[in-house]
Amino acid sequence: MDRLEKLQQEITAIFVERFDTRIASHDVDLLETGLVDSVKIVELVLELEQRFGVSLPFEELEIEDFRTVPRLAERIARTTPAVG
Amino acid sequence: MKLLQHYVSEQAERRSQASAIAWKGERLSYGALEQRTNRVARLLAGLGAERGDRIALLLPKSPLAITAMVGTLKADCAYTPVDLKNPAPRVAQILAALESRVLLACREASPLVEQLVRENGLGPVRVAWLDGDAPAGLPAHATLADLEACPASAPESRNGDGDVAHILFTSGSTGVPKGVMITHANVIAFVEWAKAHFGIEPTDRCSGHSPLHFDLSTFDTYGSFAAGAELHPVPVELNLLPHKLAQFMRDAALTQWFSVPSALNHMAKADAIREHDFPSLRRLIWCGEAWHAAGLAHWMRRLPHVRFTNLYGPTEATIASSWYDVPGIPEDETKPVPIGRGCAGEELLVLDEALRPAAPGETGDLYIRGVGLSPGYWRDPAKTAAAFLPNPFDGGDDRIYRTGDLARVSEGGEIVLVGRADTQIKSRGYRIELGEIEAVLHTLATLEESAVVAVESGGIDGLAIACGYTLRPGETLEPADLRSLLAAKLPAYMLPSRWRRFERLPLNANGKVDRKALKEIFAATPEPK
Repeated sequence: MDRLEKLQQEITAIFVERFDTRIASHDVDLLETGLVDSVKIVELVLELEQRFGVSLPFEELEIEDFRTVPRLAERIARTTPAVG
Repeated sequence: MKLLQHYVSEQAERRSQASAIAWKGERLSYGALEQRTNRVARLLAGLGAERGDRIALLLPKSPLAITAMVGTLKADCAYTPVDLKNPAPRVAQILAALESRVLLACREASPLVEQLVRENGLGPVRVAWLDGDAPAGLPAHATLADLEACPASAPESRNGDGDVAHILFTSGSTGVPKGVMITHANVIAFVEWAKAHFGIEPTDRCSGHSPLHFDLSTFDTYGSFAAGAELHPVPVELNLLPHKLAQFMRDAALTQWFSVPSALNHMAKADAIREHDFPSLRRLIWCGEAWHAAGLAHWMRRLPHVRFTNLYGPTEATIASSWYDVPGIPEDETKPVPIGRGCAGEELLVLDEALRPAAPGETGDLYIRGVGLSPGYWRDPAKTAAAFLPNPFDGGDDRIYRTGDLARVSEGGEIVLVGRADTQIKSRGYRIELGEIEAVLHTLATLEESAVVAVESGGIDGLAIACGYTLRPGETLEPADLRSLLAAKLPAYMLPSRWRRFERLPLNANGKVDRKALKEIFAATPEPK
């Protein structure tokens, strides 16, 4: 499994564990469906920072980073040096 | 006699080049808005809409949606903006309740329309696509080309200001949303008070933060048009990132901001506001739910040049019924911010169970009387009679509306909210009847029992919706699956954020679910980390 796939899997797991939400597929538009909203986004960013040991300052984030699970994975991959 | 659409027509006549709406780098003048709304009215008439018809708007927040609203009024019809994020079954409920004969839509709504057609069929409803050609395979009785072919001259109007301008749906405790009818006169009464009180001028740039299906947006739109100011609808997605929202306020050089406090808390929490930020801003107004004094103080300390006003009022009394200009940075951050006194033509009454005025300082039920009171719920005389009572202090046909809020009168004569008399809660300004969530849960065959309670949370909302449930023997259903089932029927803001499966729910002496005990269980279990 490559690094991006692994990140995607972990992000999907965060949604189940933190928000009791199962994301049906990688195409699901997290913003349109309200799976990510203004309240959850704060929690989500904190969780991502903790779990992946990255820093995601709010002022550097773009709304489109949160559109889908693969987009989110790419955004995180850009912040940390690739390992393994 | 004045109607809401006259605000646009008057500006178009006097200042046709002045900008009415600023949106994503473009400006729509009052003159152009006048012509476009005339065309919408003529299109509606061409589609068979008659005076008093209800027109459902499946349009996301945009100048087009606002044009459709005002155009509907010019056709002597009432509009209902529909949240495109609502699950299709809920939209179907609203369309059925309204018996809409015409639906105004755009391409962004096509997945929803497609689902409505597939699941329920649209019957005789006529669909007009206002932003282009009709999407393939969907019903289309008019398109943008037809709209543009309509004459731009003003149509005749026979409506009076007692006629219904829009019907807004709020959560209903029995599982069916309630449609609140709002007349032209209801809105105009508030808008005229607000224009004078806030001193809104043609040079103002007003925020349009609230979603259009939400009562507060009525003030955004008509408050701005009444003054000939420029309305800046806030793109919905900006709410996700507080820094983007703050940047929008700066770039637009807004002079007036109006929103629910959660948007403001969100910006404060993310530290998105600087010292002396938003130099053009004159007035910041919040409404829709209580703003804790600590959040208010955070903003006031950074923006000493801005005046802060708290407005209060349920949809049934139109936008807001009372006001409180904050005199200075709250010293005691544990004290609630008062909701103040009635706006012009509005009166707030704190009454005891026998409908006698409660003694000063004593908690009672909060009632509202005056010019803002809705004629009632759409085709629901029973609910209307239960909420709108004859005024006990007046033998005539005056009415008082029971808000469901508990309040007291402070020593200074200001009204202070104390809590709720029922299980309605507020989340990001949305009214949520916990009973409506339970009503949907009760339709699920896999569940034995279920109950929903509101619990304190450390989050921006202050309250989290928590659901406890038990399963029928042999069934398995994880919280995530249950959430998906509910998400197909309820809007996202009504979905519980905390779930717990029980072997048995706590019961009280009468054998009913003990909500207090359930609340305590959730309160005692920290949120998963």
